[in-house]
Amino acid sequence: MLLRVSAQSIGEEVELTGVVEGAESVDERIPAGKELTAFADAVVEGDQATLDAARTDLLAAVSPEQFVDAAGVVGNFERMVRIADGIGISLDPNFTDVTADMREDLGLNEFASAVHTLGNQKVTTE
Amino acid sequence: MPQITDDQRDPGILANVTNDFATCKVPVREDMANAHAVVLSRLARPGAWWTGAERICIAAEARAAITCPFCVERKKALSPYTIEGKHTIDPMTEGVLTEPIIAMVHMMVTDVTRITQKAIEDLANAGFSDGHYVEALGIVVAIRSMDQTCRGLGVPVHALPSPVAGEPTGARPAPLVDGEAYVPMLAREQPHAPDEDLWGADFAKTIPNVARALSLVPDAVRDWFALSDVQYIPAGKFGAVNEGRNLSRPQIELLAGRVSALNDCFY
Repeated sequence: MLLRVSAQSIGEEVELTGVVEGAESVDERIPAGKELTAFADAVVEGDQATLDAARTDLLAAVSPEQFVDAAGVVGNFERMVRIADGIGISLDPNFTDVTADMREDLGLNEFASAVHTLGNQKVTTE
Repeated sequence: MPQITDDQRDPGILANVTNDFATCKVPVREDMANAHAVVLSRLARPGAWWTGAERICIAAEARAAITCPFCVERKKALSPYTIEGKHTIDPMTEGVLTEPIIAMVHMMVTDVTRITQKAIEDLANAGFSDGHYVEALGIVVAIRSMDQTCRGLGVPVHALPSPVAGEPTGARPAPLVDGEAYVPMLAREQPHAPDEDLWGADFAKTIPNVARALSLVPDAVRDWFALSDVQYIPAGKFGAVNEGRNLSRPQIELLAGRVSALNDCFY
């Protein structure tokens, strides 16, 4: 959701499929999007060799300052997801309606945690 | 929002964090070292529900869970609550933490999407209040966040600090509301003293649920803001969707979305 809105704020419409499908599907209008996605994958799930390679690729694609930002953001969201699911919070009210199409398109309603995150709000599935 | 001040961080801990970051191939921002040092300094002190020694053992178990074979087995099980076994723990935890909280801490790291309200109620029946649960989760997520940042940067994870003696306060903040999540959270208004620094009346109506989630334990929210401010977007700028850091906001949100998807996190 914030990816779509933030891209629109700088005059871009981006495809969001890379968020779910990974580096090969990342919209090329996001600078270094493939390298950023591969880096996130490697930090979260990769072995040491995969992570070392992803780090080298990312450092070749972005500035040192941007690389540090990337590591911080990945670390930050390893935290956010556990808070959201560990506390069972619901989606913020102002996000529910505006994300309906996107959730459907990306299959996010199929995530196990959708049950508590949507709370009593209806999940629309085909 | 809570502000970081020099007196919140132990100088020795800051020196250790700075030394860890100095091994990175590129310079790491000073504000990130400060934030990590503040969180680690707070980790060492007694909290609302756990002693300093217990808090550090919870952090150690957050790390031990990553290589725990029983966690792997449990993750594969149709239900994580029907499988029996023993978690592999950090030696420092022996005799400090008991099995119910160790099992829950490991689940927070390796299988968080399958934590249920009933599991939290079962923990309460074993003697651990909702406050114990929230404080433990706050510790787990803070350590996980800092460790994964270090892993990304290619530097060692920070050493866990030595505990500071003292007893938990048992304090509950106000005003709490029930029914919005598995545990009570602070209401969408400025919290009462002594926690009015968490957010002001101006931010209260728009504060995202993920920022309120740990508010049963105010220091966990202070950790939340300390890390978010340097590793994502400063709290007052969440809604300013064209505000980035050195990365643009779309690049930041791509990373955020991807990490959430990898963790099967709907929120």
